[in-house]
Amino acid sequence: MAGSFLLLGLAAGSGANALDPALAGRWIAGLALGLGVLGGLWDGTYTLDIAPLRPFLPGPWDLTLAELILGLTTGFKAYVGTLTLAFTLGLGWRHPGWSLRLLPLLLLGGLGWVCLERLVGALGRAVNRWFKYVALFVGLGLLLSWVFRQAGLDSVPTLRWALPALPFLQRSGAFMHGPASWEMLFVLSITGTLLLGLLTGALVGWDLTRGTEVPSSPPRPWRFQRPWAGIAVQQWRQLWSSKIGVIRLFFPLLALMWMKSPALLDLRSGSTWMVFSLGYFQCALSGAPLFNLFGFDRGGVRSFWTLPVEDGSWLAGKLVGIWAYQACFTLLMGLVLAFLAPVPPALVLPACLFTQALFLVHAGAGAPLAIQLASPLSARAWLPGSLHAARLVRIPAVLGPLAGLVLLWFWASRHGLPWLLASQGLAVAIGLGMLVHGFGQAKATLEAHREELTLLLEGHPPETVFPEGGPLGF
Amino acid sequence: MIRIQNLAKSYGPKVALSNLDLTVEAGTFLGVLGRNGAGKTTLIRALTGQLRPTSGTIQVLGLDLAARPLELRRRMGVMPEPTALLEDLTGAQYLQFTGQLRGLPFAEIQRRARELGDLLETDLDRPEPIAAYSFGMKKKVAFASAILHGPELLFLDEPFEGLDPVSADTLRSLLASLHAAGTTLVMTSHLLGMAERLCTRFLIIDQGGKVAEGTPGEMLQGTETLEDLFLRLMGGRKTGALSWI
Repeated sequence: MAGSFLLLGLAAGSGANALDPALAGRWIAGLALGLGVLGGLWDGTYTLDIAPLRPFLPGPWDLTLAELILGLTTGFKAYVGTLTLAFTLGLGWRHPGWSLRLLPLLLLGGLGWVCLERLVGALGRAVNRWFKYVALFVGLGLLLSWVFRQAGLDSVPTLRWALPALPFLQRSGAFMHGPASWEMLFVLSITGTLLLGLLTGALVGWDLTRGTEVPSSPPRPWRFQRPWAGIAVQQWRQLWSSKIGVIRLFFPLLALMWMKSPALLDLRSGSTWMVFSLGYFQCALSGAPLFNLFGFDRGGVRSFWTLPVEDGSWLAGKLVGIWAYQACFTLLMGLVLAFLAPVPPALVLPACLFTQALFLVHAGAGAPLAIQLASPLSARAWLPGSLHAARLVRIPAVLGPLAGLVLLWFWASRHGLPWLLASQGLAVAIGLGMLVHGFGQAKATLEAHREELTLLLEGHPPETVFPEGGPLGF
Repeated sequence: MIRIQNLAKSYGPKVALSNLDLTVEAGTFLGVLGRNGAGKTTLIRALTGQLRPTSGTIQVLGLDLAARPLELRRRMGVMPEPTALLEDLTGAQYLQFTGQLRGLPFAEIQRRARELGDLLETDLDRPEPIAAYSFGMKKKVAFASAILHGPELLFLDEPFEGLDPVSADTLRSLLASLHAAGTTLVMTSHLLGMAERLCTRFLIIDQGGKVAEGTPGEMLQGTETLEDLFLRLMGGRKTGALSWI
């Protein structure tokens, strides 16, 4: 953390001469707007730990103020805030007067971010869930293209390849054209933040008086004969009912954007890049749930302990449910590759085998390690306070197989399609072997450590559950 | 029905249960009473196979709990904690899911769930997931799931906690009728009046050890109530005044 702080500060200092007030203002406004809109779309409920304070906050304005202050102190915002502070101090090293001007602007930007989250979150609740996620995807594209253009990154040769992937680039230069003074930036920032604050206060007041929304139609129960089949459906539905579960499925669209450049699509290095992108997104898609079999339904998993379900059926059901969810991704990617992107159709089959091999390897490696508190790839696991040696050791277990499979693909693609097919077929076979081995290990771990798992799921810290380090790597 | 010998359970240095012996005959309604942290929940968890004893043996329904957990889980009912339900499912989905895992046919679960919903005055078909239910509603779903398959032996950990008086009374009469039909029940509760009305036998524990055990006739002296007995065994009433009131 200290290293990244220092590096960012040094980078900002070295690039300070290229920065003018207009650019600084655009960066701050862009960050606040983009992150606020995305944060609101992501977390439509705007869940802060404010419930205990509610009795002491009588009116909407007290509540708004408390929400703003609490909203600024969440882990992610503290992280972004620390980095922007490093950036500002770096600039101040070259231009001492700038720090004092930028710091209030950053604070206003932070407040605007929190207000926007609340406002967009309320808007997001009023619209269809899928529409909301499409908007999130479009918003992400807009933000990226805007940042690339406004920051002048299109002049950086190594990033030039990414620009054709951002479809909104040509329309994104509409914000704040022409030179800007510090005074104008302050007036705009204060007015904008005040306006957002007033709107947020009004919204909080409205939120306090309205009732709870009720979904229109109840979801139906499902029939099953074998326990593993029922559990698979439950896992599948659980993944789809979670926000992250739906949003992950949009990742193929981002991958598609990257594939717009024909230069990347030959059978050799281009296809390696494509398959790496595909695999990288799949890591998040199936890797995280596979390494987090128990944590995904922390409370509910304990009801299984009281039901007549064998551990093997339970684990198998969970794996099949995650596989089915991941298969949707593979199918979508296959369709995208075959019909929408200029990819040789012959690549589709090896690419599908690649995704299956990655799933099997992750399932084999992940299931025995699944008794843990946080998913190794979740954003929370990367926050400075959450970094933990025991969690970090699991990251290679997720990313290692990906790297190995990509290298295998790279090697095979240089020898032609038959080699590619054979290598991926071999990878699937190895993955299957790993899954069979890992499944047995996971079952044995579950049987031996169910009690410890129960305690962990109840929120007992690992240090007390495994005071001597334990067999699970805590 | 239940036979416990020398049961002990420790979490590291902390002793939750120590050298507990207990026999519960079929048809008994056992009330397990004790102060907070006395070991009641640990005992229920050990009896339902959720915890491994540090030492001692447990036989349930004539079978060794450690050796035949699946068969026993099929025959017993355990009311899960409200926080341990699958919260992304609706009440109806949860009952269908757990009912089918217990081997009940789909249509039969629907019929029983409707009957239970009517009796508990709970709309189990409401469209929200369990996560959006109130604590009391979650309790009712947990209870419905525990008795859906008609278990021979039913374990209930604080079943009345969080229920409104009408729902608590309905639950009380339901438990009484289950008992009258021959079900063996083991219940922990802090509501001593309710326990006194329902239970045919009591086990009072403190700091993981047995303090008293018996039928109300054996344990209560004269006009003594269960509350009087409990307070007497726990060292009497604590009275006092706050300096600022």
